[in-house]
Amino acid sequence: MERWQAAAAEMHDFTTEVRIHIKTDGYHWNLLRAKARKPEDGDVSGWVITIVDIHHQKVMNEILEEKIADRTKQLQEMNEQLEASNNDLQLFASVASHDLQEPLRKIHMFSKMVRDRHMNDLPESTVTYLNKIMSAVTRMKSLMMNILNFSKLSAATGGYEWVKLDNIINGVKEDFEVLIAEKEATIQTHDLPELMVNRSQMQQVFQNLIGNSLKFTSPDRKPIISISAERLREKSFSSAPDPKGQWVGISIRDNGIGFDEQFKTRIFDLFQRLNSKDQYEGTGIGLAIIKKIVENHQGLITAESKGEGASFHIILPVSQTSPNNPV
Amino acid sequence: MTKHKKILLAEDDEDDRMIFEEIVRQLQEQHPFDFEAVENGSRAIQLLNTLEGGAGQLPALIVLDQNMPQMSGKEALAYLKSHPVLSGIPVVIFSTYNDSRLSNECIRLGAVQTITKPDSYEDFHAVVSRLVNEFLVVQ
Repeated sequence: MERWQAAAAEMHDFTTEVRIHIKTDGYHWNLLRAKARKPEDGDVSGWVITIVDIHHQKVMNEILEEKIADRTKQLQEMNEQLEASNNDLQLFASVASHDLQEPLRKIHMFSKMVRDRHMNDLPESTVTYLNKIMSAVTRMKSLMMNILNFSKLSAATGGYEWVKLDNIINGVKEDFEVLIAEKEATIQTHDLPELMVNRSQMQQVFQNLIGNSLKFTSPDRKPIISISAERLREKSFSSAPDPKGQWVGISIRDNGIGFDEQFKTRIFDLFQRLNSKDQYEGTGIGLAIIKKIVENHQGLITAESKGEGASFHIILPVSQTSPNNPV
Repeated sequence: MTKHKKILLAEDDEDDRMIFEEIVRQLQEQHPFDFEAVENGSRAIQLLNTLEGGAGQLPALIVLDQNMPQMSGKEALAYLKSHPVLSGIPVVIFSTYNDSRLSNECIRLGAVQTITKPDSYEDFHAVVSRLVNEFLVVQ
């Protein structure tokens, strides 16, 4: 009623919901629309009132809102459980890999002691066995570090910043200085842009990819690794180039042994390895880490191997607008 | 009564204790010094308290393993550095894994060095030898 009085005083239309008692059915919600009749002289002479039964809609609405509230609560609970579970997994991965290092250290240390102190009185095959024990231990350590790093990727570690890809590549070249010299490898870069990325994660990506290219080299030719980039219009490997595009496509090509194209998607699976481990070292977890990092950046990654060598193509957004972004 | 300087080691892992002792025996042939090993941090503190009470000479260097039951290396370190007399003894923390956060915390609490347990006997020997030269064979 106050609404009516207020509307009357200000002389305008109003709408309100009222409950009307239906004899046979209890209270029903109705929508009441009142139009003020204002002849020329400006004063309200009367009201045209329409009433529409909206009971059904209103009841449905209330039911819907209740369901939404319920579902939201359910989702929040599930989210909390997932977060807890994720934390547990990370904790497990961290503890497992740390605690497992201790016995590994012992195995390696004592095997080496046996070998070093008795090298002269042991048959050659026994020395070989000991070497194999130590080498297996080293592989296991490396695998555990990788698992640990992989599990840490789910957590938001550090934010995004503008980084020149050239700087990252130069850092990786320095890290691999000895290997590059040994293999007489060349790493060429062309037009690498500046991107908003998580610096340490992107370092891992290029370290892994360049490391792989340096590992899987062909004995027939000097390794050449070529890294190039171009701006793309869309987030797609078939996108047209666009100097103002919001995406960057980066390609890392090498002339090594490549891989069988039938594996081109499985190559990114956890623990997938395509070469026998004795021939070419590799724990098989590196590419899974890279894929995860690229996806965390809202990017895409694919690999191909036609003819000589392998090519990896990554698409990344030029900048990030995520909760991790401190900008 | 021996007037040699002493190293006190608190290490719960018997393999690492054994290796440390073997290295110490080798080094003792070159410079005489004393060595005692206990199994955990609280035993170390008990021992130090009795020595401080007059039962004997305090060590010139305390080496604490980080991962010990009942009382961790870091906890023992914190206790020692808050003790008026014992805080003067240099403490080195040995840890199994390379944890820079833990390292920094231990340095902040007053450890002179934090060392990751070496992977090989030779490296272990080099580390202990360096510690002996630095803290026992002085002046």
